[in-house]
Amino acid sequence: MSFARPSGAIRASLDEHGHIVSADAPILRLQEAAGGEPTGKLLVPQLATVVRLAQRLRILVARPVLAACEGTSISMWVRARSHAHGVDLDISDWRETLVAVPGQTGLQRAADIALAADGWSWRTDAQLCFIDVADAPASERPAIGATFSSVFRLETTGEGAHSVLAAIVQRRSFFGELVGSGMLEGRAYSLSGHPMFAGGQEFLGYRGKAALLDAVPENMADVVQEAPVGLHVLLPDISKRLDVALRQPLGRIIANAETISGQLEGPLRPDYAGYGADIANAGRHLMELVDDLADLQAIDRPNFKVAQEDVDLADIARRTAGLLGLKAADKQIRIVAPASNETMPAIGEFRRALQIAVNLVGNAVRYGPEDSVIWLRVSDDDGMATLIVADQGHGIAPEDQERIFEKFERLGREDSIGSGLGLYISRRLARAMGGDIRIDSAPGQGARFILSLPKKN
Amino acid sequence: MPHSWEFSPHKPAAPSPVLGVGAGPGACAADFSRFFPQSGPLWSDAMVARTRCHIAGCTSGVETSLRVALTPNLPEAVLDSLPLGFVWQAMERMPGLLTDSLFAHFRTRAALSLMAGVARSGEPPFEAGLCDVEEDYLGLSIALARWSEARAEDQPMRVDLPAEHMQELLWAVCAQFAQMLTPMEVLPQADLLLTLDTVGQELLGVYDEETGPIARAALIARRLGPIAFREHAIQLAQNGQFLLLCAGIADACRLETSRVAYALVHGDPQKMPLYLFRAADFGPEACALALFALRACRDSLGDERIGLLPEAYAALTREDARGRLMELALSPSFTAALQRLASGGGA
Repeated sequence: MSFARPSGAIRASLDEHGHIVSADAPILRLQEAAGGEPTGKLLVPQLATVVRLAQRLRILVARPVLAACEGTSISMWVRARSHAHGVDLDISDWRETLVAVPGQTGLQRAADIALAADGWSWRTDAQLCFIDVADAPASERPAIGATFSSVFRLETTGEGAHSVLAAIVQRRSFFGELVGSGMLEGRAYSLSGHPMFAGGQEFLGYRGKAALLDAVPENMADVVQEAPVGLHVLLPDISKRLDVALRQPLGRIIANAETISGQLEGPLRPDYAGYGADIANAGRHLMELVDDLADLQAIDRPNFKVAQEDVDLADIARRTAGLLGLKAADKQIRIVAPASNETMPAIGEFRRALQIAVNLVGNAVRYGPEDSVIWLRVSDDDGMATLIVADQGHGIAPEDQERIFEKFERLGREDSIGSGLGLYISRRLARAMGGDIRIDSAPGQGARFILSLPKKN
Repeated sequence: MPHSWEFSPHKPAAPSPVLGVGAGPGACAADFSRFFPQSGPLWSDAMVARTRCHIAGCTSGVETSLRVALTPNLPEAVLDSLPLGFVWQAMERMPGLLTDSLFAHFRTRAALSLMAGVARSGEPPFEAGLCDVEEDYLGLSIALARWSEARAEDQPMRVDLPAEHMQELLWAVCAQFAQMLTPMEVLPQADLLLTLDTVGQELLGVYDEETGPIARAALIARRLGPIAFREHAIQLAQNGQFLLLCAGIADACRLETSRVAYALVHGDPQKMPLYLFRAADFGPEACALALFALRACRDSLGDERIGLLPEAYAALTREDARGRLMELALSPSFTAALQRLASGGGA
């Protein structure tokens, strides 16, 4: 899949020290992805090489250049002209190709995640016009053929494309993104979607869910009333800082390491490709840790609050089983979810309850034996709605059953899996919703993690 | 791990202390044999002659440009007193003025022009739907035709070198001008050198390597893309477009066109074309045509080798072929440094 920029030549001007004097947006995007400043030294390695050559030779250099940015391979034709004050770059024939097309399993997981969200279903064609809408209330229902951007407000901000727009451009999935409504003034959606490909190659369009938010978050009001300027301002400060300081560089490390391990830029010695895979795995582990730390920081704040919504623990259990079904199948583990007609109404925040369930079931899959079963059951227990996650693992000794909820507690395990924060965060979240998590287990008999939330009367 | 730097443009010349040293003009063939080391490939006589023709033509081309550019700075009579083609004559006497890498480039383009001449010209290679590169393709064909043009050895030809080589050749020619003009005392030596430097910079400032065949082939290759190339590989080979095929291989394998071309011409003819064509999935037929064409410049290619090609091609996976080309992806300077190390570091 390859697409060319429709616009004309892209230009940049550098001073004699290789610092950017002026540059068009695509160059600045590459510069940012390479960790450079808009007016700093040009750090895009492939372009910097051409610039240095032109400076050294004092001659016009015209070469094909291949760069990479956020899972996209960018091919361009570069003319670099050296002069007394620096080098001028004239770039044409800019072509972007998605190189990190996830495998079938990855695509399936992305689809599962996107479709596990609440709301009405939608589907677009490759031009992002709606071709199918299901279960949408009349007031929200977009006309077939309507453009995606007329229904969901995706205008770019001063700092760059909105994250949904960026995901669409790169044919990535997105989950639970806050976007303004283009049809209902002052309202916002939680939007999830995943791209569809024919034979893993040809882009067919997007498919996903849109849930109209009951109440617009206070500081979102300006965003949906006016232009959706910088939705990231809704995130807690620490998350924003982590995004900039850790997530973005880690994302680049993972993407580049995957490029190396997949030998997408050309052939490599097998052991080098193996190192790339190791780096990518370590990067993903660090990324999970960063996510956990961001959650930790949020829940440890004194004013941490969760929403009080009507949730159905049986539905959450079924969604969790769907999300982790493939991961469990890798270890021949079967997840038995509540029957489709079963319900267990409770009060809590849907997103947080789902996060807890995914953590509990994820642990059961991660540490459970191969060829085993994980049962998800719901029940009414003394006025509380409960979700029970029962596995056939080694069980947890009574003396460890409280310790396991402590920060960074891994019960002596020395493997690199997990941060030791998941259960701590889950219990804090459960308690913030007026519930709790308990364990019922004995060594050799498996474990039962019981999530309880206030029952809805 | 043993390294085979057979396709490094920086391959050092075999030690030949007597060749090229103190030989008279009549021994120019012996002088230039320095650049055809006996330990490397055996080149055909046609190849040696074509290489000389390209060096002489480009050198005279730069000389002519420099004469014109110097006209406002030096008396016309002084410039007229310099015999036409004097730089080429000097290079025949002192081939060391050309570096190995520049000479390697000339060998490569000479070989590609010979290979183009061998190919049986056939149908136009591009069908409807690929017309957007037709103009570029025509330009490339004209440029390649210039490479094969029959001309007197020192008759100037259009200088269409890559930027690095253009810069090197121009300064080599400027040095010859300085050597000839200094004894004439038309200007104080410092002023003369400054004038030559300024004029040289001006010439480089207006030079555009994009008009050269290598850049043009690379441009076509990226516009067409690997799929179109695979479809048209046989037609391109039949039309003698081996430079374009090299550009296609380079585009498919993320390599530099000039290094792929060098590898095709200088690599082991029994292996390298196979690796290159298999790595780009261009098929055994196009590879066989390349081998047939290579015989114009490499004497060692027999029919029996070419007959075994289909089996060898089928036995080689694309990934293995790309693995064999790993050295082409390394930085040339790094390759050269490793090569020097392997040869004892000059100790």
